Formats: sequence, structure tokens, C-alpha cells
Amino acid sequence: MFFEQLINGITLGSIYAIVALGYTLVFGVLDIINMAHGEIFMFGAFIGMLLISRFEAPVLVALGGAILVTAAMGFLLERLALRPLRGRRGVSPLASLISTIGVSIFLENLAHHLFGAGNKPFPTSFGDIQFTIGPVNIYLVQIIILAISILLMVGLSTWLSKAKAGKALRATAENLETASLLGINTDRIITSTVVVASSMGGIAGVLVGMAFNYVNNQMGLPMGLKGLAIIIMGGMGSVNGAMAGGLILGLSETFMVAYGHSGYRDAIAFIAIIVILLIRPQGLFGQSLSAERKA
Amino acid sequence: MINPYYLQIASFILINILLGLSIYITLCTGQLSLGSAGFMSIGAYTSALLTVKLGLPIPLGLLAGGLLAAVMGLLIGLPTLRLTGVYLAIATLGFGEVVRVVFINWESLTSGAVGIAGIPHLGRTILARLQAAGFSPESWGLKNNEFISLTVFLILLFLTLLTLLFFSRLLNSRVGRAFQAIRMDEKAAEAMGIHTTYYKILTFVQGAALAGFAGALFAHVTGYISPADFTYHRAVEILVFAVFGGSEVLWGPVFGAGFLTLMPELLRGLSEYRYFIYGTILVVLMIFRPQGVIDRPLLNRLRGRRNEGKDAA
Amino acid sequence: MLLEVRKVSMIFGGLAALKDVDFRLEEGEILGLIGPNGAGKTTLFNVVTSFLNPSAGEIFFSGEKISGLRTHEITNLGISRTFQNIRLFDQMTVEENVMVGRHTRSRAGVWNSVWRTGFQKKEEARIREKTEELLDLVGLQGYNQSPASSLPYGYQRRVEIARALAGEPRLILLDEPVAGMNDSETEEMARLIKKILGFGITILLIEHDMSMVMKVCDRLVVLNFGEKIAEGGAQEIQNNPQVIEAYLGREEE
Repeated sequence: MFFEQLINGITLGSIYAIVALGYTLVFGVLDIINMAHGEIFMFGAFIGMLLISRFEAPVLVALGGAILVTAAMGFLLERLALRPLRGRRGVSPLASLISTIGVSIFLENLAHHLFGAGNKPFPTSFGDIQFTIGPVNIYLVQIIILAISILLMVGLSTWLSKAKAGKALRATAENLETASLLGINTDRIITSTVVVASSMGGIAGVLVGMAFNYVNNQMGLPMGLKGLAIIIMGGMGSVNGAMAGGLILGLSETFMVAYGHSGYRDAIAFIAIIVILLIRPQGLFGQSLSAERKA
Repeated sequence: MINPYYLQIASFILINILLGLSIYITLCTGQLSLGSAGFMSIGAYTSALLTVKLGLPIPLGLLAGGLLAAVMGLLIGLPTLRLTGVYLAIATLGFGEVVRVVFINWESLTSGAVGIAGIPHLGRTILARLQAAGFSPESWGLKNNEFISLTVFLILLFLTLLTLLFFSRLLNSRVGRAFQAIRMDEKAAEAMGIHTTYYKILTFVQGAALAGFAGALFAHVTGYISPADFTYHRAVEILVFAVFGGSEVLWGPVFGAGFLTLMPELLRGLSEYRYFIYGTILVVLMIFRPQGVIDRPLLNRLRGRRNEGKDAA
Repeated sequence: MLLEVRKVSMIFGGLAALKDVDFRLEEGEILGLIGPNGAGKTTLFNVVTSFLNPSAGEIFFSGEKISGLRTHEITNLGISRTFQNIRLFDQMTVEENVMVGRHTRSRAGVWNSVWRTGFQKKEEARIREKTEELLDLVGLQGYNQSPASSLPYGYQRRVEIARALAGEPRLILLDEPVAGMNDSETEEMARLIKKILGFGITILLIEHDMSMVMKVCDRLVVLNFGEKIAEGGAQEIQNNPQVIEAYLGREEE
């Protein structure tokens, strides 16, 4: 039982980590929290669900579709809501926050109108396949989720440290002005970052559908808040922090549900937000906020 | 003549004005709090439980609701002081959600998702008292329900006007100038001898108390509350009142709450798309008019003055 | 001795912005703090007013230790300042800016303000009176209702000074008050500074305009790379080889 829960926790945690990475990427380059990230995640889940249940598409196509749609959403978000606010003098940092809040409720309402309320089933053809390794039962679904997550996380880390575009992203994240002076097309980097972050949200959405076998247009908000909790816990802008934090949250939630108080499951993330912000606002991996951040 | 339906809408406008003001007052010192739904629910549940389970009179419930919300505001506000901007907004958002989850799960106290029904209604309670003393609305040419809605409306109007007077005076004083200075440049404000910590907590607690008080009123005007009344959506709605109406002047949230409560009633067909509209409003406003509809220059023009920028109200 | 800066150091991540800076300021004098760009002058102001916590050393004001107090407490003890980059409250009018400066010498709180007590009304009137006086003093009478941000640079500096004076300080820290000004404006500012001195206010002045500094200041302290390299009267300093080298070795502003 313990090992099953461990695997559940790790699976859940890795999905959380992907969502958190989406936040971290955007915060890293733009210094803003994209409050619409949770809703984009939710859309990814629904696109995946539609492709699978309406068109009986294989999982890969579902993922592909979710990636396409959420990437497009990210693109629109950046161009329409975020870019006009950049480089304007006297714009309060709260303005982008408020703007993305606006986008989030718009999207949530859109989902409500497009997809209707209530849980929609997310069937996976291989959902029942399990393997037994020693004392442990593990589902194929979980293996797939873990595989995709790890691929994504490793891919992202490598890309950030090795690839030219990845390094350009880190440069932009560090100092926008300098990066642009160095000839980096910061506008393009920023747009790409938001697009990549959003598609990661989309992928996470499909994975959640696979893990729980249903999607719901209300799932954006709790996931969004948990993603926030994770990056706050791990340190905003820290890739390692997002991954570590995601795992920690996934495991804590799973064990809390397994050993008693399921109702308060969602509260863990929220309480974590408050506690971490009070004790160690820079999170586990972040640098001290005072000198650096102009937020 | 006295239409209970219109009076009810007007009453909700007044409660929303109070809620809009609660977020406005914290914005006065540059703090964005997304926890208003949480404070509102604390006030509502406190008053509801005290009046339903302990039979306390409504005014006591209202006061207790506001007070408890204020205390929570202090408990949350003190440690979160060091947080600025985005971090504070998220922390308060987290707080609002924690409150909601706690209320849903603490079934022995709050009956969970089912909510609390049978909360003593402000108007009906007053009518009952008066009737017991021999008064009858017919003597004024009013039917019972007309009297009830009128009473509720008048009480809310009185309380709202009182609140507006309170803040108008506060903001147009040494304290108000300190608020503004903190909002514009906190460090420079400190250099003026302004105890920024004190004033920031002050507005935070005031906002919490006001939201709690409004929540308590809400409970006694609707007669039934449940955690679904105090979700993140509610916090966003309150945010839109202030941000749309005008986040820099006292009349901003008043206008915002009035306009945005009225519109869905007037444009019935649109009320389904309410959150589409709210979302779009927020995005468009931040780009084109981040200070909201009503700002100082507009206010001065409406008053026929030329760019004085004197009053904070 | 009004202000004592005792062996103050300020280290940022390995870099010493200030190193063992040590000097005294007597009541009633004007001390000029000079040095090439980046010498640490504004950093020193920031340490004195607790915008920064010194890595080492202490500051004493009228014999009391003030390093470690919060900025507003230091202001309440009687130290005001202006800023190198002018930090007016730019969405306020000129009058409101100066009135905010009066915060430290007024007391009305929530209760008094909301009930509009006699005390509060008298205090508000006194605040407005004082504001009017100060605007007169700096030559900005009539500009009360102008938005602070709409004023030309030189006028904004004067508003900042009026605002700093509104707190009735015993010591005022002026950070490059004539930066960017032409000769006649500089003359006017020099006269204003002398007037302020005439009120019995002690002045610590950062400035690059040497002729003004020599004319106005009683004594000078020279900083270079965060260290005090000289202290003394105008003549002494002008002839001090180390000072000359410090300036010649760097781009003059």
C-alpha cells in the first residue's frame, strides 16, 4: 500500500512539477505571475479529452492537439494582454497580474460555455494495464505519465543550459535590457517562452486527464493555485525549485488523502503558500528577494 | 410605488459598494488584497452562527462579524507586511481559499457545503418587532414585503453613507496623505517620518473589517449563506468593482459596484456572459486606462473645477 | 557635536561601497561631502537615514545612536533629506508634497481625522500655513495646486527642499541640489542654502559643483572609492594632492 501511494505521489508530483515549470519560465523572463496558466492547463485537458472521446484519437494525437491549442493560447495571451503592458513607464507591476486574472476568468467562462459543467470522462484505452514489480503494483498510465514528465523536465533543463535559444532565454530572464543590447531578439524570446510554458500546461492537462480519468472546467483554479504554491515553495524562477516543489506537494497531498483528511487536501497548497511566504519568501532554491527583485 | 425588487437590487448595490471599498482602502497604501471573499465569509458566518445558534440580536452579530474579520486581518496582515505587490496578492488569495476550504470541511460548525439557512432577516426581524409593539405597515400604506425591502434598503443606505463619510474624512487628512505617500513611494514616505508599517496594517485591517461587515450584512439580507457565496470568483468580482470603477479615488469603487451590479439586471441577456465581460474589462482597462473609469481629473471636471487634484475623495 | 559617523562600512557582496568612513558634524555648520562619481556619497546618506544597514560602524545623532533605527524614527528625531534623483510624490500637487513633509511634526490620527475635532482642524490650518511659508521661502508661491510632476526640474528640486524643511529638521541632507542647474539657478540655490543655515539648521551637502561647494561650505569631507581621503577647509582641500589626483584620475561630470 505504501509503495502504491508513493508511486501515486510521484506521478501526481511530476504533473504538478510540469505546471509549476510553466509558471517559473514566465516569471523568469517577465517577472510576472501568469494567473491564466491554470485555465490554459484546463483547456489542454479538455482538448485532449475531446480528441480521445470524440475522435478516438490515440494519446499521442491528444497530446499533440493539446500542445497546439495551448501554445496558440499562450501566443495570444502574450501578444494581446502582456506585450502592451511591457516597457510602459509608470505601469504598476500589479497591472499584468490583474490582466492575467482577467484572462483567467474569461477562459474559465469560455470553457463553461464550450464544454459545459460537471466532470467529463477521459478514457484511456490502456487504463487497466498494470504491472507488478515485487511488492508494487504500477499502472501503465503512471509509467507513461512519469516518462513524459521526466522527458519534459530533462529536456527543458538541457535546453536551458545547452541550446542557444535556451541560453538566450536565461540571458533575457536575467536582464532584459542587456540581453537586447547583446542582439537577442527579446520580444521573440518572451513570446516563445510564454508559448512553451503554456504548452507545458497543456501537456500537464492531458496527463491529469490520463491520471484521474476525468476533466472538469473548474480544475483550472485549484491547479493554478497549487502551481503558485509550488513555485513559491521552490523559489520563483528556479527550475529545480519547481521540480522539487512539485514532487513535495504531490507526495504530501497523496499521503494526506491516503491517511485521513481528504477534504483538506487542497488546503495544503494554500497554507503552504502563506507559510512559505512568511518564513522564507525566496523559497527553497531562490535567492534573497530584497536586492534583486524590483517587483 | 415601492418596488421590492428594485429595492433589493439597490440593497445589493450598497453591499457591493462596501465590498468594493474594502479592496479600495487597502489599495490606498499600494496593497492588493485578493482575500476579500475570505474576510467576507468570516463576517457572514460569524454573524449567521451567532444569531442562529446563540440567538444574539442582529446588530451584535454584525459587529462581531466585522470585528472577527478585523482580527483575522490583523493576524494575516502583520506577517505579510514584508510582502509586496504580487506576493501579497497571492498570499491573500491563498488565505481566501484556506478559509473557504475550512468552512466547507468544518461541518460541525458550518454545516459544510450545505450552508446555513434561516438566518434572521434584517427587514423581517424589524417588522416582527414593530408588529409586536402594535405597529402595522398598512398604516403607512405599505404592504409587508414593501416595508421589509424599504427598511433593509434604508438601513444599508445609512450604513453605506456613514462608511463613505468615514473614509472621505480619513482620506482627506494627514492620515490620507500618509496613505497616498506610501502608495506612491514607500521609501520616500518613510523618509517623511511616516510609520509605513502602521499605516499599511491599518488599511489592511480596515479593509478586512469592512469586508467582514459587508459579509455579515449579506447574511442578514439574503437569509442563507454557503461557501459557494465566497469563492475566488467573488474576490475577483470585488476586484473588478474597484479596478473598473476607479482604484485611485473613493468614488471609483462606488461607481464600479453600482454600474456592474446594475448592468446584469438591465441587460438580462448578457448576465450569462458576465465573466467574459469582467475578464475583458480587466485586460482592456490595464492597457488603456489602468486607473479605472473615475479618476481625479474626471472627478474634478465633473465638479467644474480645473485640474486641482486636491481631494482624495 | 550633532552628527557622528563612526567607522562606517557598507559592503555589497564583496564590494566595499564605504570603508571605515569617520567624521563629525557640528551643529550649525555646512559640511560638504564631495568626491568623484561612485565614491559612496549617496550610499553614506542612505546609511545615515537607514535606507541601508551599515555592515560595520555606527551613527550618532545628538549623542544618541541612530544606526539600527528605522527610517521614519530617524526623521522624527530631526533628520530630513532630499534625493539625488528627486523623489517627489509625483501624483500629488506641490502643496500636498510639502504637507506630507509636515507629517513628522503633526499628530492627527484616525480618530481626530474622522471626527474632524478642533485639534485636527487647527493642526490642518497650521500645516497649510507652514506649507505656504515654505513655498514662499523657496520661491514657489502660487504653485500650490500644480501637479508636482509638471514642474521643471529646478522647481521640483525646490519642492523637495521645501518638503524636507516642513519636518522642521535639525539636520538636513541635501543630495546634489544644483545638479543640472545653470549659473543663475545655482546662485539662487546657494542663497537658499544660506537662508536655511540662518534658521539654525545644520546641513550636510553632496555636490559636484565645486565653485558652489567652496563658496557655501564651512568644511569638506572628501570620499574616494568609499574611503575618506581628506577633511578640512576649502583651501586645504583644493590644494590636497590626493584629492586632486582622485578627481583627475576620473571623468569629471
